Amino acid sequence: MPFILIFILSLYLSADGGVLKVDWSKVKINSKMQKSLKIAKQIQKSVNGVTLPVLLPRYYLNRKGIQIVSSPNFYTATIPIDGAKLMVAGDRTYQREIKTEDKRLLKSIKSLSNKFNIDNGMVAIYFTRYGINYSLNLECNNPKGDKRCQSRDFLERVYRSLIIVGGRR
Amino acid sequence: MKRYLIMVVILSLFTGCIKKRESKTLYGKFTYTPAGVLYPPYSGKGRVGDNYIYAPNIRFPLERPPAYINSQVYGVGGMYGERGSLCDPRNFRYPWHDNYCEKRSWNMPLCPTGKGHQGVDIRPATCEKRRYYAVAVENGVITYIGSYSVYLRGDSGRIYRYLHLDSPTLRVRIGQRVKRGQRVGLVSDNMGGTKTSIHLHFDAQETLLINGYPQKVFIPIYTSLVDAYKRLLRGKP
Repeated sequence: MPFILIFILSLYLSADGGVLKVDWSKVKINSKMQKSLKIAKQIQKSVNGVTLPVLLPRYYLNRKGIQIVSSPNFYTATIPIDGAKLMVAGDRTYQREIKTEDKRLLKSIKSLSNKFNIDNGMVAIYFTRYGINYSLNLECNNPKGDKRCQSRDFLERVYRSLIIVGGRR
Repeated sequence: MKRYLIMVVILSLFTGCIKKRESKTLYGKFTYTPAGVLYPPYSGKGRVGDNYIYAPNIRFPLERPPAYINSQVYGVGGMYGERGSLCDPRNFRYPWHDNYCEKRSWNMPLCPTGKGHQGVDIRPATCEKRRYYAVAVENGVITYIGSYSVYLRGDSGRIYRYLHLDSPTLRVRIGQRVKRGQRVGLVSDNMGGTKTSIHLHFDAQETLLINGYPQKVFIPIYTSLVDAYKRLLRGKP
């Protein structure tokens, strides 16, 4: 109960949202590898104005039908894969700033990152990299019959294959 | 001619009054249980006492009332609910019951147990699929459409998810700008190859900057929807 009260109070005291700072010092781009991957021109064009590192899975960079919605502060890629759709998103914005000393909340928030979630026929992971929020979401056409949506294995392989394909300072 | 015109005006005023009365009797008196009080009580632990409106002034996500927020899993006909039909009339009446944080395996830092339901389930007026429209809750852009989900990124930066809409009749496409109140799609029982009950799962995500650490979380949305629904009932959505 004190946890909730403190949290509510801290929400009232919170400032408005804003834009997160990208930690470009941690961004390492392997330009040789990028060239060898032959990233589809359509992808390069779509993420041209994005001001955060654009992560996409290496396996699907030349897949047909990829759609990317972007602005300077976010991007969302929809990648059709056989019988499923993969969403990759990065977002520089935040909506609420909270200053709290509640250890339970802080522990809960930190432990959330890099955890895979499986529910409602979807598998998802939310993670922070370079000071920015990213997420991966897999949605199967047949959630009960498709093993990819019943365990973390498939999405974990996708997660490990993420590379920077664009984004500017 | 003058008499005819006066009669038309009087008649239209009269039918207007009847409609208003009908709407009152049709929807009944809107009642709802407090935020965080889940029903039935064994369905999980909610954020009792948190009445903060996290998404102020959003439009209600269904085009027209009535609509009913209650549990699909623990309601009549649900997996852990009383035996019966999913279309049982008890599922289509007030009061509303919050089901944010209802028992699920999803990691949810704002839920007392650390896990729970990401949003709320909303049943339309009747147990009929492909009849009632879900609409955009604020101006924004459609960022993703899956086999049974639609993502709307509002201009506020909040991300809203609409689940279980009828895919073939969606009124939006990826990358499309939408206006508050614009039709998104029809409420259905679509969950890919699997069916679910006829309802809209609706949730909202925000990035919180907690002591400088950014984290995207599903926010408690029930109070915002109560507020939006009251406005919808008043005819000012």
